[in-house]
Amino acid sequence: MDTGQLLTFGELWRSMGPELVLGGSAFIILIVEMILPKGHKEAAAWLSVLAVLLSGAVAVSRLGVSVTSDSISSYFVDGFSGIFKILILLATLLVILLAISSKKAIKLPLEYTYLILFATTGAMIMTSAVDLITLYVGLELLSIATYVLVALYRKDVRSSEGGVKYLIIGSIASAIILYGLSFLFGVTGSTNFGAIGGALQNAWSSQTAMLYLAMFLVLIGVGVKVSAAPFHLWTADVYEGAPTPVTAYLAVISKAAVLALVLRLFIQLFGDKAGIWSQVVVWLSIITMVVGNFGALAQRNVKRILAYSSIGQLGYLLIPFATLNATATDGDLWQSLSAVLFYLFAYAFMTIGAFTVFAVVASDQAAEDVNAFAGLYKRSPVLAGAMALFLLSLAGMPLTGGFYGKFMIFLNAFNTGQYALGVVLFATSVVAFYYYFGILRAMFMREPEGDAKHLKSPVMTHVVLLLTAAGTLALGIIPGLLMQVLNNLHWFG
Amino acid sequence: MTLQPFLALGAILFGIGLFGALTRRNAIIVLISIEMMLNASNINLVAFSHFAVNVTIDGLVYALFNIALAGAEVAVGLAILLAIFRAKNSNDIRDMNSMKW
Repeated sequence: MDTGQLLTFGELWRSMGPELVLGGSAFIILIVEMILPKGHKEAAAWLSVLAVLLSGAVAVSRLGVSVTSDSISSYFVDGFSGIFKILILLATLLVILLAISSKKAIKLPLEYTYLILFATTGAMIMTSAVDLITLYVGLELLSIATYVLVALYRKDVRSSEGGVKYLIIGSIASAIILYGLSFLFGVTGSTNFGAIGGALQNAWSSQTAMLYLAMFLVLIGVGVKVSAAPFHLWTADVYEGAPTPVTAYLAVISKAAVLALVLRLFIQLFGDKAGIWSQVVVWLSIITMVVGNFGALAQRNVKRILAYSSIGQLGYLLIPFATLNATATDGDLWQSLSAVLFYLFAYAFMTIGAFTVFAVVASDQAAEDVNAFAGLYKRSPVLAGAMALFLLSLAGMPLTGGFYGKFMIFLNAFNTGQYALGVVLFATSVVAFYYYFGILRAMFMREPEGDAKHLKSPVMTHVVLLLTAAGTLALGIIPGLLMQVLNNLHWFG
Repeated sequence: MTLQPFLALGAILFGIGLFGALTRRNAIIVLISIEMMLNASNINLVAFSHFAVNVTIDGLVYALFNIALAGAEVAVGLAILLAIFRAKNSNDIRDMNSMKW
């Protein structure tokens, strides 16, 4: 934990092990993909699966580590970063498998194999960084890699168009965050969280305006990045334009990583002013839930419905963040973080699962609207059943992970006296049922359009569906497993 | 010289950049505007670093990192614009309207 000295490789490995494995393999795969003979290039995708598994093994082995043993001054290895890294790696694994399974339908250039790994490395850095420079580099590594991923599918002009939109909006958000961070640096004279925290003790009274400016600029930039309303307008276009595996990546991993960043930043640095930012986040959360769920009602394209639904889900995820007001105790904090993490795990499984079914159906019908799902039950009971499970979980039906996660968030809101948030959560969930049932009705109650031959899906699709469905059900039926891990976690200690 | 003129310069640059990024129609100009926003932060960082009570090089190092990241960002941006220019033969933001709700 000493500054001003060169790090030994041992220190680097202990603090950044999972990131080193993942980033290193990304460079190796970058070269291997070039020299692999034509026809065998698909192996690069499996190498990236292997890299994620290896990195995941290292990340799991670091989960119980205390913050004092492995951390370096700019990079903390604590329970908070550990559990977020496992979530991010799990979701990345599912996304790569989804990309492999849909290679017949969407032939993504194999550059995605290492670009996803670079993006995930950035996402993992964001969960651990306790230095403004490290944090911003992680954020940009994730952002720039995902801009390329969105625009990667050059056969479809919507992909490039989504890429431009994401690049412009994302860069503006990055610039706003950076401008805010520059004021934070200016007031405290340091880029390190520890030193900033110390300097902030006195600075809040003398440099009030500049610090509020910094705080709200960061909050606005982060709001754009996680597509919280009213900064959500780019979301539907980018999600529609991006190739489906990348859409799943944006919906799960980008959001989780930015949430991790903002949670650490606001809890550790701006904790003194929790009474002020929590009120802003309350409104952000309410507007996001309402806009996301009502916006989905107007959509016909299933990908856009899922995009708006993911905005609504983000609103639910902001609730535990919003309840961290001035009166929140340490117990409330742990409860909030547990609720966020539990819901993120459930959200990862059900969102990636829903996009997997969507990828198969959309490519088979060459259409993305609800009619493409008409009579899916007759054409492929497995796909229809899996889609029903994911949609019901997203809507919050009991016995699914989505229900238990939402229940925890609801309890969290009521325990901390934020009844309005709980009520809006409940009311918008009812709205969500309506548009999810639109898809369910098309799948089960309507006759298939045109020739209703059996819809064949690749084996890999079934593997992804099995994993995501098992995850969704397991979190709903035996939530105790994950809860036990979360309860025993030393979040920041 | 004091700190304030530099902060004002940064704020003006940031404002012009944000305004340009949100209103201009030419995608290249939008990218340039975003660069201006990023450079406003760099001016802030360097100025804060210079006028700090305990002078450190942290702010300068931060600015250096930002320059490299901004370069990467604009390189990716131009590449994507090139891809879309080939498809649509236009770099006008208003032509990027194939997705609507």
